[in-house]
Amino acid sequence: MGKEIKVFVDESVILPSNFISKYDIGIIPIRIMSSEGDEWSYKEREEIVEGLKKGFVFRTSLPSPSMVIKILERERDKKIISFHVSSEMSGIANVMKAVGRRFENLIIVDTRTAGPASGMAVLAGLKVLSEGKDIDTLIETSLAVGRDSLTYMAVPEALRLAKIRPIEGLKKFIQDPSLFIKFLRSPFGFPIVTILDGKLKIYNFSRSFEDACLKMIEGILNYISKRKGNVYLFLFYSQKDENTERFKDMVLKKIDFFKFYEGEVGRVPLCAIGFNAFGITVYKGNIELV
Amino acid sequence: MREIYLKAFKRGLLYLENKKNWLNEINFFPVADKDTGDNLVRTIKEAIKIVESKKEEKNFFEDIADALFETATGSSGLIFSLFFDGFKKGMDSFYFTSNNLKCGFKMGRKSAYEGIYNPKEGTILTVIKKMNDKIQNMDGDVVYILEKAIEEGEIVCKETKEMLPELKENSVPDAGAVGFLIFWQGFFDEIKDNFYEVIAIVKDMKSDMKEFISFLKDFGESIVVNKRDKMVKIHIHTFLPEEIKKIILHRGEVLRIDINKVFSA
Repeated sequence: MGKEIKVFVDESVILPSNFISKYDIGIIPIRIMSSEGDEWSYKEREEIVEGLKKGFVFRTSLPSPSMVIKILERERDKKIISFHVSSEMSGIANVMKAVGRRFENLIIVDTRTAGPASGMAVLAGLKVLSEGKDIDTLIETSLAVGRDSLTYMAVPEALRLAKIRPIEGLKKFIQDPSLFIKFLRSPFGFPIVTILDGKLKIYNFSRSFEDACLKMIEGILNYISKRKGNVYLFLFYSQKDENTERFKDMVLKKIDFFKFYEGEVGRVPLCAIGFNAFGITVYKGNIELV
Repeated sequence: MREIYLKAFKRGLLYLENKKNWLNEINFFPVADKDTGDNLVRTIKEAIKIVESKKEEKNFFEDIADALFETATGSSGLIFSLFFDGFKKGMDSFYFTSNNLKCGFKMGRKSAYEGIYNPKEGTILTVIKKMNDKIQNMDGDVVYILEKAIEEGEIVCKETKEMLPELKENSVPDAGAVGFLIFWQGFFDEIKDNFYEVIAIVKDMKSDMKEFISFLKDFGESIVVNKRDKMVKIHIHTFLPEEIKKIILHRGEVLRIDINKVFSA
């Protein structure tokens, strides 16, 4: 009989609520430091929220390989499968690769995409595990779902995000005076970013919340119309509030789906996208997710 | 040698600390998170503390590589740590020779490249690769080869400005590449300061010449031994002049021995 399997994800991976406890998923933590020059630490979510309110910029830093080994040590007798956001976007998959030099039974899945789509890749991986299939199938399946998932995200604080992740097309807004004024003067503006193949790109700009929701839904429907299979939707947000509930209602009314998930982002994505960000990731295809 | 290696690491750190803020400023790749200087300094500083607090000492480079694995911070710190995880494998002898340097850099390069998903050129990896290429194609003693490798590193760091769009746009070299080079500049300056030329004239040598030269190779390079009648002239470049002196004193009647720094201040 094979070894028991334990799944880990790094903190940049966005998963639906309760999935961490439901599937007993381990977390590889990432250190966070604020623009106020404090020390690197594993700040609590509340502390980050307070900092964001004050306009702090948070930076993240990779854990050292040894620190990760200390975390994995508790599961030494198990086979570990660790899912990570794209190595093109974060060094965490590389840290895990270094860990793999001194820790047997570690399988690393570089999902080659960003937070919410990485989450979809994990859901596909969990399904494969529940069916008792082999590791190669798990990796192949997870990568396929990560690759084919599409994300739309409304990010009122797009400039905050741009300090941490390159966003293609944002420069046009910043360099064109008329667009930048619009950008700055629109407190209710919602730059919409797409994430595909692990790359962030400006998709559109909406002045109103409703318009942002409609544009994202339109993008999702367009994607769905071009593919075959079951539709899996994952709605995610910085914090659950009236707006995200309104967005959820609109999504549920306008999009036919096979499964719907939702969840609040963790500490690390929160630092990147700031307050009031929300988005939706879709996968349509023949691969099953848990 | 352990003491010299440790001092060399500290000098590398000192050079990095002096340039830390500038390294942070020029950090634009992969994202402009402005922390490459902080990350490298933290990685090395904490590792040195660990090595200094060790009661049981093994090979210095094994100790420092283990410590760097523990302290690696950020991507540049991680690659620095991966490099020394390989480098230590080449540094398996008591003395620091050109062969060690060649083997260390070769293994360090391999370790750094293999340890990274999608290695990108125009980064710290490129300076590692090019310095290694230079080292593998050079002859001479360890200090001379390292000096030439650093000169190559300086050229490569400037070239990184053109290698990645993010760097080209901001007209800066890659911060990680420059950080790696700065560390080696400090390391080199310390090593250089401890590099001596020993010239001795010995009468009535008790040893077999072949065996004697072979023995000296464990303590230095650029060895020239000339025998004429009963007199032997010995020339060696070494980090351990006092050890060489003791060895020679045991082998015959020393008529003259001069110990001078190879590089004067």
